[in-house]
Amino acid sequence: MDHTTVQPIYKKPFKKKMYPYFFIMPFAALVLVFFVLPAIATIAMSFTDLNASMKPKFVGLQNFTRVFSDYNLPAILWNTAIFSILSLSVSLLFALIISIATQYFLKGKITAVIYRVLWLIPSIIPAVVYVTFWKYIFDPTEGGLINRILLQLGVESDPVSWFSKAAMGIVILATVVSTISGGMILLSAAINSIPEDLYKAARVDGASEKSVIMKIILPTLKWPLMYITISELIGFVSSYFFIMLLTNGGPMRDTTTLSLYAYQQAFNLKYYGYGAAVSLIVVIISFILTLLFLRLFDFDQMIKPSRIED
Amino acid sequence: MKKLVVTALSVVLSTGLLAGCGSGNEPAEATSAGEAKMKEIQISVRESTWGARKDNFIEAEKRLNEELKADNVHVKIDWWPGIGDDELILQAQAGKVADIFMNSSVDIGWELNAGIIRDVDWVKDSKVFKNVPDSYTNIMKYDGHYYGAIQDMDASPVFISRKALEGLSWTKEQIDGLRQRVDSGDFTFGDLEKLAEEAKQKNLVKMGFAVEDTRFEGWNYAFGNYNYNVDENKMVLTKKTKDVYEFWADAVKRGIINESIGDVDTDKAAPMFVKGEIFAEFARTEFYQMMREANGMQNDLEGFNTWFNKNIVWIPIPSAEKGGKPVSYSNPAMIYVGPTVDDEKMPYVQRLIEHVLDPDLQINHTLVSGKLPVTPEAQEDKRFKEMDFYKDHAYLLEFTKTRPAQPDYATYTKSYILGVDAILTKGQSAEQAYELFQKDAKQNVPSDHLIIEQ
Repeated sequence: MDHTTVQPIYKKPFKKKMYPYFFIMPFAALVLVFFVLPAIATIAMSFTDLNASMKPKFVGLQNFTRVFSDYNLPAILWNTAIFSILSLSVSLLFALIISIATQYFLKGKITAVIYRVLWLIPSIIPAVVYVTFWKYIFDPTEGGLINRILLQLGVESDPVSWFSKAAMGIVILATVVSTISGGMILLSAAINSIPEDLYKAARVDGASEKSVIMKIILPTLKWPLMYITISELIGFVSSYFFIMLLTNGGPMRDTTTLSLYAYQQAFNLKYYGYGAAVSLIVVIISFILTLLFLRLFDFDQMIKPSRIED
Repeated sequence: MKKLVVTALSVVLSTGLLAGCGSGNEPAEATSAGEAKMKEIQISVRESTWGARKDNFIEAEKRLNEELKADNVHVKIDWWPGIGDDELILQAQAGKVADIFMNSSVDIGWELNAGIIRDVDWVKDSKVFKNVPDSYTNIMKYDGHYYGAIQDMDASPVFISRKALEGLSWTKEQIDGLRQRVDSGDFTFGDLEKLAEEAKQKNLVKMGFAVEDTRFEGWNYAFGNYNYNVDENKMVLTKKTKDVYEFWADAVKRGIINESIGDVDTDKAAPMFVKGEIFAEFARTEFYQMMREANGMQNDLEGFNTWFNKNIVWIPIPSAEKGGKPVSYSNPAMIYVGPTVDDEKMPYVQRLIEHVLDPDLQINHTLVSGKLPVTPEAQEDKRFKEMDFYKDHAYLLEFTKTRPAQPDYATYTKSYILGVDAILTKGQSAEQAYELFQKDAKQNVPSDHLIIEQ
């Protein structure tokens, strides 16, 4: 006779099972409506000749063929690369310098707080106001700040047309100044999480400031640096707003990036199908870059649990 | 308690949803105690408050309702703020196009293709539009039908610094007689360039020519380069464009045009011109109001007119050819009617639009916007006749050209401006600019919308 008693299996009540989904549902619905559906619509649109008439016809890969035969494409890709790489490098470097300076060298000092707050201002100003400020600085008439200074100092006799001569530089400068704060906050938080004992131990061992930065701080920043690099790079590759407001891609197409080109085709010229195809290429480029950087930062290794937890 | 809250919330939400789903545009039967049933017609109007546009619609509504009292009909305007083209397209997709809306005359082509306008062939027989010049009729017509009612108009004079001309030893008689010489074709575009160059060389001004935003049409038209074949409704890639590029390249070399010409917004150009820093500003009649503001004389019309006559002289854009006719361009606003307006509602929509064009209302708009009235009756208005500046411009409307309503016009213009940019910022020759323009236009303007002249 079998005396083993069967333990009743615990069944989670249906209500409890559904709890997590109730919490997820509103946000999932928002993501579906505002991200997933538009993305599907964009993909579908890119295979049509949709324009202002709103009578789309399926054209297969015609839009993509057109993108790759567009004589502007090499120049636009080059602009996108220059804008993204320079913006990312400068923004990352400054964010790193500022966070090390304020969170390590000036840690706990009021000047550090003020300095960080100052860098936050550009990112909280509405974009249109922010761009107006840069436009005023580089105004091509005597009313522009830089031109006024140069004329008063006698360096120039006529106002300089900055947006013709250094458009890409201005665009990168304005973009970098407004994006530094994002990286600065994340890196500062990461540096702040380093236990004070580590610094003390290093100093007892006679470590120089350089060694502390190179051997303690920078290795700690690998995660946030990876996150900032990937998120900002995707942001720069797909950003067009500042460029549109500052130069609208000019002079000629000197500051036209791929995403601005997509915007112009879709919304200025009303070639929605073609614009969607260009924007899909932006997405593909961003995706490839993300994979590349995950590999570069050795993402698999980073997410492996540490041995102590084995 | 919980049930009560849930029930109350459901009622509120359902009511809100139902209210939101209703179109609100259907004619309603308005009743009040002791009165016979009054038919109410609701007309949705979508436009900005710029100038006197909104005020004129409200006044037109009042006037129309006075007339409709006898018929026991009441028209009610449902005002929506003006929005951009993209929102207009989306509203059309949602079946929410306003009954009446305004847009540029250049938009007829794509609006018709998108199905967001309907024909307004009543314009042909309307008393209001009976006496407008043929050029206006051409703007309102597209593909054999009337699709818009012209709302306002402007002309594009060249404002010249009188002080600079005096600095070049021009006498008062010479200056005052300049317009007549332009009208007769005696004074050409080249002559104007020479004057600007001389004024710049003598340091009388800092800039030779300035232009409103990137509205370069005037210079195209001066060289007889119209780029559009009205019969085939196609853009034209013509070698005449090279002549215009040659002017640009030459003007840059001679210092008449600065490379920043496209970057100096009109609101910045106005104070510069008022200070006498620009020799000639190619703008539209609206620039008169901008100068008034730049002078701080918004409330002193008499004082401004005195200043204007002492400091400025204006001419139509001279022809590039000796003996040629001057030119002028405009970007007029049109009143469009949405496709949901049926034949039953159309008479009320028509009468409302006709009232908006009542002579006195047109002049109200002119006074605040600087735009010109479109009907000869409005130009007879006492207040208009008292405004020398606008009154003297009325004759320009006879030959003022407008942008074509071809749907790919914007693409074509982008290619054209690319060539101009190449000259301005890269020092390219007219030949190189033309090559670039040709390459860009051929690539981007659909081939069935483009005529390539050999």
